[in-house]
Amino acid sequence: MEEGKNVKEQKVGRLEEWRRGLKALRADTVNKLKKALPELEKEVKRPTNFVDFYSYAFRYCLTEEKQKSIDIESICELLDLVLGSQFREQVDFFVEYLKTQNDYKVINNDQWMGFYRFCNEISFPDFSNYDPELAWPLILDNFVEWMLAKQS
Amino acid sequence: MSNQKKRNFQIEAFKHRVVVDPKYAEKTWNILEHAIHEIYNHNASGLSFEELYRNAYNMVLHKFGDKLYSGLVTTMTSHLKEISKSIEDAQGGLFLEELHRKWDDHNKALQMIRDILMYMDRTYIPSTQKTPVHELGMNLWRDNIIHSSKIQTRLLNTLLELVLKERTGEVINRGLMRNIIKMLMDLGSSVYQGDFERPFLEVSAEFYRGESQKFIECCDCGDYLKKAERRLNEEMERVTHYLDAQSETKITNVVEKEMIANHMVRLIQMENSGLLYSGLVTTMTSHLKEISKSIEDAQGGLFLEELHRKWDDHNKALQMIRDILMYMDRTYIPSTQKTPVHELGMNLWRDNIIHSSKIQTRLLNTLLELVLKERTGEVINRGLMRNIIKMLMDLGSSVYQGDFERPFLEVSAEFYRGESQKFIECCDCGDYLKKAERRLNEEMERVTHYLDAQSETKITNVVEKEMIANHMVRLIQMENSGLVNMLLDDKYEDLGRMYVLFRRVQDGLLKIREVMTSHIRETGKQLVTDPERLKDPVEFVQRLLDEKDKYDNIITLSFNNDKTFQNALNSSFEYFINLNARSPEFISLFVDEKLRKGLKGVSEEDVEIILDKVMMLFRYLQEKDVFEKYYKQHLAKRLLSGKTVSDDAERSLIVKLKTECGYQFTSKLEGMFTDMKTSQDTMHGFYASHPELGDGPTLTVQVLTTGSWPTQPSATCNLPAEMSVLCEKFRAYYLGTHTGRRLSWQTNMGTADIKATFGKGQKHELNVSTYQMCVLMLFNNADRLNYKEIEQATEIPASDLKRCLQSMACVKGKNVLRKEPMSKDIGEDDAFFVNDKFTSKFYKVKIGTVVAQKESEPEKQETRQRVEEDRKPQIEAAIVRIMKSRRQLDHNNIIAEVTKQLQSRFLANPTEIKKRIESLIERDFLERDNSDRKLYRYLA
Repeated sequence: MEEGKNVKEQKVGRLEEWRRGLKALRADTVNKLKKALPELEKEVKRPTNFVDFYSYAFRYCLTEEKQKSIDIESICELLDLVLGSQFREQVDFFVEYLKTQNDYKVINNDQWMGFYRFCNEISFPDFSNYDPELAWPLILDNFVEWMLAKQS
Repeated sequence: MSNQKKRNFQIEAFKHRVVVDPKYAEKTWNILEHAIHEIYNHNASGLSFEELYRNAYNMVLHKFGDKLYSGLVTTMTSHLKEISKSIEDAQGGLFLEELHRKWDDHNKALQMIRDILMYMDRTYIPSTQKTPVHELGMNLWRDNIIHSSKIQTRLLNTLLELVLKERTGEVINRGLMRNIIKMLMDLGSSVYQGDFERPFLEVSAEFYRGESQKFIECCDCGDYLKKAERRLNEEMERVTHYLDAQSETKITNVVEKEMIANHMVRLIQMENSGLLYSGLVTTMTSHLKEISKSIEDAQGGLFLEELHRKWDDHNKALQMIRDILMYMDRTYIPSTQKTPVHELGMNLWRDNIIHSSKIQTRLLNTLLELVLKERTGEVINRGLMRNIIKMLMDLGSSVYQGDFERPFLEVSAEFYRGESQKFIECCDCGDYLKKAERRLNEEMERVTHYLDAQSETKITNVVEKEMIANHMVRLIQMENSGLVNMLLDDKYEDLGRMYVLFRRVQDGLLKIREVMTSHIRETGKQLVTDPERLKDPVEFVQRLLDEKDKYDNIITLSFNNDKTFQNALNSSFEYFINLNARSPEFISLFVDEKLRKGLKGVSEEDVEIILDKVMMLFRYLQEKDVFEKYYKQHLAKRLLSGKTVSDDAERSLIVKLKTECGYQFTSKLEGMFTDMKTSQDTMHGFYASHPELGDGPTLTVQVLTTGSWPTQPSATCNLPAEMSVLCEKFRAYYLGTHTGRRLSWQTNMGTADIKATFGKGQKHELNVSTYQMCVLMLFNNADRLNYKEIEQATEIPASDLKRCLQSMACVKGKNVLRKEPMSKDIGEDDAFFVNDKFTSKFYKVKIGTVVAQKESEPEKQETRQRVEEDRKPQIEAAIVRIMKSRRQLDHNNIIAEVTKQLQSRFLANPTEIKKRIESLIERDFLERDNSDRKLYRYLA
């Protein structure tokens, strides 16, 4: 799965969406699609659009009806994929944390979105502006605690 | 009887006619007129008053009253005109005398005439509304004499002239004057006022106006006032001598107005009048200087006495001087704003005596020395002391304060500083406080005896500061006798004294409270964390209760039931009780012990007291839900084993829990009681419907509602055939009456009574658990069974089976089974036999299962986990309740509110609350706000 294949609002992935997406890009040939792709990537990476894309990425992985969370293993892959280029360090450490901890077996949307905000707002890796009194999802409190323990 | 008419008695008219002489009136009047003439001419002695009276009487009787009256007027008038003439003719000084004589005559004549005409006066005059004879005579005198043109003015002038003469110093005939004025008053107040008083006042005003003018020009103020005073006295004297008493205020008003009021300002401002004042100052000062000398000369102890005596004298003298100078005090001093005489006297005393260089210091030293003597135990003359201090107070509060109080306080502070230093080195805390208390009382007593009442707080403040405040910490911490030792030894009296004394100083009670609190916390912490104490939960709780009683007593007896101390005690207990996570379990165990046997034979009131104490400990618990868990388990055991001492006590405690924590908290506990009752009825019903079951084994089933009881799902073991048949019958009966229910057997909780016969025929009744029964019944058909066989036959869970075998084979006195090999523990390869040699003193033998009274470590973990599990829905419910009403709330406030809502049951862990919030977010009850990261929103 390529980032570029996902378009704002016209989410691509499944066949129906794929077709709608191509139509929106006016890409009826492979060549036209190739030309459209760099544009598309730029647009997705614009911050206002990216958060929607990030949120979509989670929902995209929900395959079963009423499924609300995604197993740790998939989450680790997904993080690497959608956030790896922007927040390399954060993603690496978080993935490491997720793989070593035992408290969580799945990640829900709230925790997923929380991590994006965390990456954007929190000074890394010193966490100087991280306030555990604030309403961060508990998993991030634990992550910070784990990081600090590791650092010291 | 004759026909003669009866004659009534009749009074007939006088038969003979009274012949009225037509000249009768004339004649009679002539007689009377003649008599009046004679009276006026002083010839009355020849008259027959009786005859005259009769004549006058007859005239009135014969309707000649008119004639008589008018005749009287005419006759009297003519006489008075003659008299008037004779008075007018009187020369010079004789005028008044003649007037007076004639007036006297007229009065006498009038008296006689009135006597003669009395009948007319009484009958004719009232009926015709004419003037009575005496008044008539007065009026005629007034009109004909006093108001006669030639007399009226002359009389007035004569009178005024005489007054003037008297005012200028001549002597006049006051008697005559008085008689004449009396005459005017007798003629009526209008005559007195019109013909004399008014003109008299006018003339007097004019006179005094002139005189005061003259005086003020030539006299100094003192002289003028002297003169005015004399005039005022003269006029008052005049009134008493010959004027109507009512004239006094009128004439004094005139004098006051003319001589004083009109000249007041001028008098006050009159030069040189100040002489009096300055003279007073000089004179008094010189006297005081002499006095000062005599006081200075007084030797030693006599000094104060002399001072007091002279002060007394001075006061008396001052009183007299003030009386003498009262006028100055009232007029001159206010207008010149000078010091009034009394105050002046005080000030001069102060400046010349008290502040004299030789007295001031000596006085102060003497007073302070006396106080010191008294402090060191000597007896002093308190009366004299009081008098001297009173003098200082009389001289004004500044004198009292400056010349005594301030130095007194300073010296006292120094004294107590030294003394407290000495005491604190050599006394223990209790003694020190006793001494301080005595000193404080002494000072207060001193104030009531001879100091100003306002000094009390000042001197007590000094003692408090020097003896208490400055040594507070040292006293509290004093080794072997400080606060902690007092608390340890229950020194109620010393503690009470410390409380009362320390309350007087700032932060005193705070200090006591702090030390007490930390002491209770420390000892409490030791108590609840001491591993020795944890061995016996009942003892553990009893210690807590004893500790609480101890401090309750101290607070009641020594600390005045102070609320702040009670709060400190409560918070301390809450603090340390919760340091031990097992406190809820232990408190429940304590209750369990009490309700199993501890309360046997205890009166109802005492039971209540114990239960109330338990409730008090319960209130300190933060994890009330943990207590509930254990309480439920313990209650279940009590109920199922029928071991509870008193149903009333059980219910009473549940009511208490209900009032404390609400309906929810106890609903399941109450459900347990209901089940017990229902089960009894069910068993009656069961045996009633199966009369054939009388002979076989008896089954008692307790039907427990799932959820109300702390049951654990456990596999049912294989019951002996006899029993399982009975059980099936019961099942059929029960489900027949209650359709749609499920029954499952809790074989791990039952008991059984079985009759056993051993080798030599010893018979015993064994009280065992259901599991034990199952095992024992196997031996009816076998002599030897090994562990595996028993396990297979009964299907009792291994751990339970081991415990059950252990209790029957390894406990001395209860070893109904014999084991091979003999050892303390049960092995999987062991073999079991009936112990044919079993003996016991008792017929009934109770074989208890080896059960730990308190929970083992894994059990504890399990209970803990269940509690945590139970808390989750409660936390979530609280979050939802709060968010539903608030719609949106930030993180910290949710944590705070949830904690608050739940604190009556347990202390919620913030991390756990956070987890619950996230879980609610996941389930779409809540969402995070898009921009404010702390904010949650409720999703309806």
